[in-house]
Amino acid sequence: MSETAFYIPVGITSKADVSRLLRELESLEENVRQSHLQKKPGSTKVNISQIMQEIAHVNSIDLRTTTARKTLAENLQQLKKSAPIVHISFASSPRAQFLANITGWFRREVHPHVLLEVGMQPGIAAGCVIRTTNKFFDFSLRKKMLDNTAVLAQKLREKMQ
Amino acid sequence: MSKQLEAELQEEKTRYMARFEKNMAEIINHYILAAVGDQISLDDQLEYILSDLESSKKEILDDIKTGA
Repeated sequence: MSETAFYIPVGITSKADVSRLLRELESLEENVRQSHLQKKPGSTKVNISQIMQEIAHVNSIDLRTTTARKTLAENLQQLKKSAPIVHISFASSPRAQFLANITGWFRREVHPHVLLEVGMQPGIAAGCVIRTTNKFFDFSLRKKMLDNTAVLAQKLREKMQ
Repeated sequence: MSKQLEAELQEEKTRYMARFEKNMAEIINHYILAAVGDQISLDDQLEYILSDLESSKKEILDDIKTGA
């Protein structure tokens, strides 16, 4: 899979999303196979999810053709296997649109195939913490407080004098 | 006598201050969390979070490139 040739919509955020798409493709394949066995190709009405339609559209894949479905499945398998994973935690559960913005930033600025593993850490109050393969980035309000302890202490001392 | 009391009072004050300062960030964080924790919307934080990400972009990028 070429790194830039396969586009992933921001609605696909995590490995779980990729697995879901792979399961949907398998199910689609099975439906097509069944309708061929019944010698009524195209007779089975299959519901295709919006995200599947989107990934097919951005990659110019015609889901009606076996070869295209196979290519999509291969690309998704490869993505699941080798995409860079970024673990990111927020104080509360993010909405889809918010997550799409964060995912968009990573895909635009870091790597087009970044997948996120989203977690929750209420103790950070605000901001986020990030873990990449070898590094940890703390952008939380808690960390900012700790970094500015000296300033806070100085202000407090001034008031106490 | 009065000077001694004053000195002891000052010493005590310094001790309390040091203890408070040591845990100050945690205390304030806890307070903020209790007071407005559920009102700080993630959507409102987006701009700040993106600017934090931007400030560490190079490090993130380097780790993604080399850290497989």
